[in-house]
Amino acid sequence: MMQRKGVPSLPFLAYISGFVLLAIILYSLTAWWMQSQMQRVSQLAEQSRQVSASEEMKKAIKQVMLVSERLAVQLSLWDETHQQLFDSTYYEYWRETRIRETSHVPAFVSRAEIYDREGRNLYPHPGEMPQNLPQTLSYLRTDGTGKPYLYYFHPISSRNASEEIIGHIGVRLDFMVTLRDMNRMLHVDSESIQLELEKNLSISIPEITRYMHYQTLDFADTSQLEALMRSSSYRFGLVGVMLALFAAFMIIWLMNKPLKRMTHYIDARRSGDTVHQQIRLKGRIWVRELEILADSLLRYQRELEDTNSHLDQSNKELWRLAHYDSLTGIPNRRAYEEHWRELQTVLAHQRINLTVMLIDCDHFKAINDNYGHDVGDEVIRKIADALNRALRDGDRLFRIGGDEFAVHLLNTDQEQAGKLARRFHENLRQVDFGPLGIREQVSFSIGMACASGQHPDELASLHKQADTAMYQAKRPGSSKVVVFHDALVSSDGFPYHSRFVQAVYRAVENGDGIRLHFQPVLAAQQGGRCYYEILCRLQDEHGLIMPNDIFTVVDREGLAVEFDYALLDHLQRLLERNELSLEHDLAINLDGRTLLHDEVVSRLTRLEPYLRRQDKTLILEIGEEAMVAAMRQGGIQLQTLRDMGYVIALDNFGGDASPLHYMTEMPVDIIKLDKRLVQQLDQGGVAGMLGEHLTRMIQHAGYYLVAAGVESEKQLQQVLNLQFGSVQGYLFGVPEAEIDTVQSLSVANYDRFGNSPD
Amino acid sequence: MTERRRLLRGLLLCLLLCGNVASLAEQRTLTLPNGLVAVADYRIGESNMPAVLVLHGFLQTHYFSTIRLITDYLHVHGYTVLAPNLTLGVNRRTAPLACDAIHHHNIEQGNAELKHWLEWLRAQGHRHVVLAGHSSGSSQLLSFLSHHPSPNVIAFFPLGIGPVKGAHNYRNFTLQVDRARQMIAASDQQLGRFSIGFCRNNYRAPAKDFLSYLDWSEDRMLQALRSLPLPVTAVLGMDDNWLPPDWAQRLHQQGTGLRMIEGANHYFSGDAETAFQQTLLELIKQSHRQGKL
Repeated sequence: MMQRKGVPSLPFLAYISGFVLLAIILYSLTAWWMQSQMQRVSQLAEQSRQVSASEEMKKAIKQVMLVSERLAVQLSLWDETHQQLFDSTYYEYWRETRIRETSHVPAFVSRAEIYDREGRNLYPHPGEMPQNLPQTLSYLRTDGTGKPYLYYFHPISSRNASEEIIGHIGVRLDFMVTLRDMNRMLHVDSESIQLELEKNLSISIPEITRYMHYQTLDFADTSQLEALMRSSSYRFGLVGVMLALFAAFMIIWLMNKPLKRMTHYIDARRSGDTVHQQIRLKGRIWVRELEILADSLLRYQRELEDTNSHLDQSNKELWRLAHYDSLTGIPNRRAYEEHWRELQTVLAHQRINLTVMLIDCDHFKAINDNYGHDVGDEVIRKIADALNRALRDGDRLFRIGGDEFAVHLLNTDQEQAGKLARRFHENLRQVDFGPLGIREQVSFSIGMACASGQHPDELASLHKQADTAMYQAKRPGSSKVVVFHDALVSSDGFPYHSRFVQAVYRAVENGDGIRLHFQPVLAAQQGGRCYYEILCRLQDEHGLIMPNDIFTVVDREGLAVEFDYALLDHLQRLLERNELSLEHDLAINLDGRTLLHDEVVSRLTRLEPYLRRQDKTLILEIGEEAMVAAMRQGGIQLQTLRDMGYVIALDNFGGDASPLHYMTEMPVDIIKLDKRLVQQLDQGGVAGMLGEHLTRMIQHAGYYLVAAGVESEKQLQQVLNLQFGSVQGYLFGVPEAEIDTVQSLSVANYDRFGNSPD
Repeated sequence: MTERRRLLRGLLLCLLLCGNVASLAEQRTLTLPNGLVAVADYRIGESNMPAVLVLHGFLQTHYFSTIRLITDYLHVHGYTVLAPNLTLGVNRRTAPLACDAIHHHNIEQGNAELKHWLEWLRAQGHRHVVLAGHSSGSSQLLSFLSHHPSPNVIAFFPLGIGPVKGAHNYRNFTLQVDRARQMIAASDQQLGRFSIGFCRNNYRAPAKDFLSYLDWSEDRMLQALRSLPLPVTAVLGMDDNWLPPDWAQRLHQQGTGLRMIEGANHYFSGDAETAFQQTLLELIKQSHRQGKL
C-alpha cells in the first residue's frame, strides 16, 4: 500500500463511522440547543405567566370588589332593604332567612346587615358582622378559623329628592369563593390560591396581594408544544440516526463494496490470482462514477498489461541485446560473464571438466583499418559462422571482444578440447575472405585452458590461463593452438604476457624501460645507403622484452600510435642529452596508423634540428600492412614527411601483405625486402626466380632496395648480384645497444666487424 | 275594511296618542302619615271628565301590564288617571313585592292609603272619581268603599274580581286560616308561611296581617258589592281560570252589573285587550253620563 507523508490515510469505514458519529453529535448538539431554547422559552413563559397571574389576581380582587360593590348597591336599592329601615320588626328574619333566599344575593355572601342612620346594626347582637358601621367601609378579615371574608359597606340613600343617607348595607363575602366564582382564571391555578393571614386579622384591600399565594397555570398549549417539540426532537433524532445509518449502509453498499471489490481485483491481478480476478469484478455497480472508475481501471489494467507485455518484450529484447552480439547473433561478453558465474556456482557442487577456449583473429585491427569496418564486421560474422559450425551440442560460444571469441566446453577433457580447437582453427582457416576483398592471409590464435573436475579451485583462473595461452599462440613461430601449461606462467605466478603488457603500458605512459638497439644497414653497392635501424626493446626487472612480445601486446591493446610517440619522444630525449651519436643516418620503424595523425609531424619536426645539425637523415620504416592503410587513408601525410626530408622505407616487403599490386603507387623511397623473401633468393627454384624478378622489377620502378635478414654469405652474394642498395642482417651485425662510432657501414668492410657469416 | 286593517289603524292611533300622553304622565308621590312615601302614576285628562283611580293587583304596581293597558287607554280617551302603588310597607315602592318578602302590611293599611289618594285627587280638583281595580285591587277597593264610602266616587268597576284566597289555594284555604287564627290566639307574632293570591305557601306575613286579606270571603265580597251605594259593574274574562267556575253567575245572581269579555283571561291580555278596553271605556262613559257630570 502506498503510504503518503503526513496524516496516514484511513479506511473508508472509518470515514463512514466518523460521518455517523458526526451526525449523532450534530443532532445531540441541536437537540441540546433546542432543549435549552425550550427551557428558555419555558422560563420566559413562566415569567410571563407570573406577570399575567399577578395582573390577573389584581383584576380578580378588583372584580371581587366590584361584585361586592354592585351587590351592596343592589341591596341598598332593594325595596326590602328600605322596608327594614322603615320597619325592622322582622329584621332578624330578613337577615337570617330572607337575605339568603332572595335571588338578589349570591351564595358567596355569607352575611348581610343593615345599619341605621346612626350606623347601628338594626338588630344589635354579637355576630359575624360589626355591631356598628366601621370607619373603613371595605376590608378583609379572617374569622376564628382563619377563613378570609371580605367586608363591604355601602350607604343606603333615601329615595327622596334629597338622597340623604339613611343607613348602610353591609355584606360579608367568602373571599376565596367569591374570588373563584367571579373570576375565570386563565393564569392562576384557582385551587392553589391561599391567603396566609392570622386568625381574626383585618387588612385593607390593597394589602391583600401581599398575603396571597398561588400557582400559575401551565398553559396547555405551551406544555403541549414543549411535549410536541420534545417528542418531535426524539423522533427527529431517531429518524436522523436511522437515515444516517441507512446512508452509511447505502454508501458502504454502493461505494465501499465496489471499491473493495476493485481493490481485491487489483490485488488478485497483481498476485496473478486469475480465479479471483474473474470473481472479484463481477456484480452490478450502481454508482455511475464507480462504474466509470471500474471501466477505467479495467482499461488501465489492460493497457498496463499491454504495456507490461511490451515491456517484457522490450526487456527480453533488451536482455537479448544485452546478452547477444548484434553483429553475429551469438552471446556477448555480458552473457559470457553471467554464464561464467553460473558455471562457477554449478561447478562448486559438481565436479565436471571445463575448458575455456579463447579465439582471436590476428591482425584484425589492421584488417579493420585497411578494409573498413564493414569488411571487418563481415569478417567477424564469418568467424562466428565458422566457429558455430564447429560447435557441439552443449558448447557455448561467446563473442567477448572485437575479434575475440570464447567457448565453454563442459565435460570435455583436454584431448577432446584440443581436437575441437583444431577443428575450430581448421574451419577458420578454410574461411574464404576473398569475396570481402581481403587478399592477405587471415590468421587466428586459439588459447585454451582446462580444469578437471578434480580441481575446482582452478576454475577461477581458467580464463586468465586461456588468455595466456592465446597470447602464446599469437607469438611468432608459436603454434596457433596453445593449451595452457605452467611454463607459460612466470615464477611469481603471473603469465608472461601480463609482464609484457605492464612493460608496454609503462613505456607508453612514461617512456620507462625503452631501450634502443641499433642494427647496421650496409651499403651493398657503391653509393649505397648505410645507416642504423633503430630496434626497440623494453627493459623490466626480469630483463629485456623483445619486439615480438612488445608488438603482440601493442597490437592487442591498440597502442600502436601511442607506442610510436613514446619511441619518438625517447629518441628526442636521447638526442637532447647527446646520448645518441648521429654519425650515421638512422631508420626507425613506425606503425602506419601513426602516420595518419598530424601529431607525428610535430614530433618529427622536433627531431629535425638534431638531424640537420649533423646533416643526417631519419628513415621512417613503415610496415607493408600499415603502408597499405597509409596509402588508402592518408597518402598525403607520407608525401608531407618526404617533403620535410624524411625518407620513407617500406619494411618487410614481400611478407604476408604482398602489396605488389600497388607498388608503383607507393610514396616511398626505400623498399626493404622481407627477411623471408631475401632468404628465398638463394634457394633457387620458383621462389628464388620470383625473388629475383621482383627485385629487378622494384629496381626498375626506381626504388632503393634494401635486403633484410641477410644471415649467410650465400644470401649476401645473391643480394649483391641482384644489385641491392643496402643489406641488413645478422651477417653484418645484431642489434646493439649502442652504435659503434667507428664502424664503417659497407659490405666491403663488413669483415672488419669480425662478423663473419660463419 | 277588514278587521285586520281596523286593528292596524287603531294601533297606529294609539302609538301617536301614546307619545302625547306620555308627555303628560307624571310620577306623583304622597307622603303618608306613617312617613312612608307612596308613588302613583298620575295622568291628567280633561277637566270635565271624572278621574279614574286604577289600582293594581296583589303585590303589584301600576307598571303591571293590565294597569298600563287601562291607564293608557283611558288617558287617551281624555280621562285623568291615577294609578297608585300601595306601599306594602316599602317607602317609594315601585316594584312588585315578592311572595317570600316580609309582608308586614294589611288590607286596612291599603284602605288608608287609598283614602289619602282620594283626598289628594280631590285636592287636585277631581270631584268625581271612578274606581277601577284589577283582581285583588278590586277586593282592596271593595274593602275601601265598604269602610270609607265617599261621595266623590261615582262608580266602581271591579275588573276580574275574585276571591282573595286565589284560584290555587282553595283546597288548603281553611287550614291556613285556621293556622293563622291559632297563631293569633297564641299571640304568635312570628312570620307565618301562607298561600294567598298567586303566592303558594311562601307568603311570609304575620297571621293577623294575612287574615286581614282573607277576612274578605266570597260571600262577604258578594254582600259588600250588593251593599255599595254606587253603580258597580264587574268586568270578567270569559276565559279567566283564576275565578271559581260559578263566580260570574253568583255575581249576576246577587245583582252586580257584569260584563263578560269573550276570550279574555284574568289579565285581559291578548286578543281581548281592545274589547276589554272598549268595554271599560263604555262603562265609565255610561257612569258619568248617568250622573250628568
